[in-house]
Amino acid sequence: MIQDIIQFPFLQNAFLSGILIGFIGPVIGVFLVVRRLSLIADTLSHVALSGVAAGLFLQNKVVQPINPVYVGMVFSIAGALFVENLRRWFRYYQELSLPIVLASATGLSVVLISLADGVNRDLFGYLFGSLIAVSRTDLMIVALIALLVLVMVVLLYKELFYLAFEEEAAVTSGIPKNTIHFVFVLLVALVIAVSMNIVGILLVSAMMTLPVAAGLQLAKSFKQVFVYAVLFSQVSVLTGLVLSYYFDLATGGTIVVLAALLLAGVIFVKKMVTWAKGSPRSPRKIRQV
Amino acid sequence: MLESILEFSFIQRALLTGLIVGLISPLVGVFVVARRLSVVSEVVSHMSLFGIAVGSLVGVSVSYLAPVSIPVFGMIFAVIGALLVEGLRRVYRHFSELAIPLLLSVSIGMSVVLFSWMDGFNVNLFSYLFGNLLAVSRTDFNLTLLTGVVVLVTIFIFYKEMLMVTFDEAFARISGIPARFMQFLFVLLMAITISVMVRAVGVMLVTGLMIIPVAAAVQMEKGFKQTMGYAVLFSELSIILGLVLSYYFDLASGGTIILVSTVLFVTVFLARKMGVRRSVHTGGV
Repeated sequence: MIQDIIQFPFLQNAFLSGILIGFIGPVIGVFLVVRRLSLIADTLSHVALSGVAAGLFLQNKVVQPINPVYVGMVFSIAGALFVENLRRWFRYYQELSLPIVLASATGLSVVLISLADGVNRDLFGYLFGSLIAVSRTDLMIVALIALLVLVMVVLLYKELFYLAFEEEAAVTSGIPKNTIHFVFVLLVALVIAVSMNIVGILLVSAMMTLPVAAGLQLAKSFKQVFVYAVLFSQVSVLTGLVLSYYFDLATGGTIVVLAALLLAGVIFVKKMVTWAKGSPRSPRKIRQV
Repeated sequence: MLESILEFSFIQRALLTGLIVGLISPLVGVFVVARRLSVVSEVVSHMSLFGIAVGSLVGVSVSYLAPVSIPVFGMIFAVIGALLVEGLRRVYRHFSELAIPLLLSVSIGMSVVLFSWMDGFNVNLFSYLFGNLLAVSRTDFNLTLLTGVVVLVTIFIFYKEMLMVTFDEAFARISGIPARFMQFLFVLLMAITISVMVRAVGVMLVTGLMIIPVAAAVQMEKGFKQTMGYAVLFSELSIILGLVLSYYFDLASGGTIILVSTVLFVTVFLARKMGVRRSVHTGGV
């Protein structure tokens, strides 16, 4: 494996960008899970899919030199702006508004794909991730965006933390809630856009939330959640990349199945440990009392 | 148009399947929206994709099972998914928030891995993801018809009980309705409806077809029965228009159907917004 990586530059690109995505994904994901916003990630990723479809359409029917991933990136950022406004419009349909945008974006992408005659290997890669799609330029962009996301999270850490746990107190103490929230949704859109190549559009949100859910099971403080989440995500990304290379599987699918297995394993082990210890809630203890 | 539709039996089958799906999906969808189960419907549709993947695998290895195994496994897995979500919700209350993303990602991840492992089935996978009414087989059609009858009859018989359990579970329990059984029955109905919808509009668009017409109907602000009526109207309209448009312009049928329903929703939304504004104006004067 190591030899192959040294030999093939496309594998280097895939692994390096996988490591970067495996780092920023869960970092943003922690706030998504804690604030219960994972549906926003899902919606934005489907909006990005319609961007990719539009890009495929332009590529196949109008102008040649255009990379669908960048069109997807533009769409997912535009989608972030739109979703933010939508919350204000449909105050009383909030929980329906996201599924409606999600479904419409998917419908649009399907129609655009059929217009572009785009049902092929490439589309499969955008949907479910692939090892060969990452070029040197893509890697540079992933690195740039990863840096940007990391800097923003470090700068806004206190504000994000405060808003996540004490929203009202945060607002009264003068934190500009809407601005912060808006910046956060933009960051989510950026992470989704750069994860498209490796993990695939349909699996991005799983990759952002599953390691965090596993981390939440073990962590004893908020900062530990980050550590565990990044650890789990790196394990699943790296193992997933290796397995998908050897067995020729869809990269994103393998990564996500591994992340899910890790989460299930963590829950199981935790249950076993509490059971063995005989937690105060277990029926045996209650009967003794 | 009429002639060419009557001429091709596969188009007849597509249209009939579409009409049946368009009837039962909003009927179930009204309850899904009222009980805020749209995420559960997403889980069920993804589980049925997992079932389709397993079914294709069985079909590849045992060739005489191939035409039957895919829809049947799709339905079985959808039911299993629905029962899993329902069971997990009951057993571990705080666990449901984890169970849903876990099931979602396991099912789609596993189906992707299975499909990529079988390879050469890409085109098939796409038709299950995005739906292809024009590729509906005879088995699919029969299954849809059967499901349609079951769903209609069940909703007709248990309408009152379901309504009560949906809006006031405690009261329903007191008045002697077996709430748990109704819940179970409803989840089963949802699962079989979704599994036949997957054939028509595809895994990724099932929730949309279930929810968007209902959301449009809810905006009319009428009673529950009228909302059901409007929802059926909107969904049949989007299916018929979507099919006709997709046939003429050679577009993917599932996507076109959803886009038509979105246009309907936005129209109703804007019309109502204008109407409200006008009435507020006159009210102020």
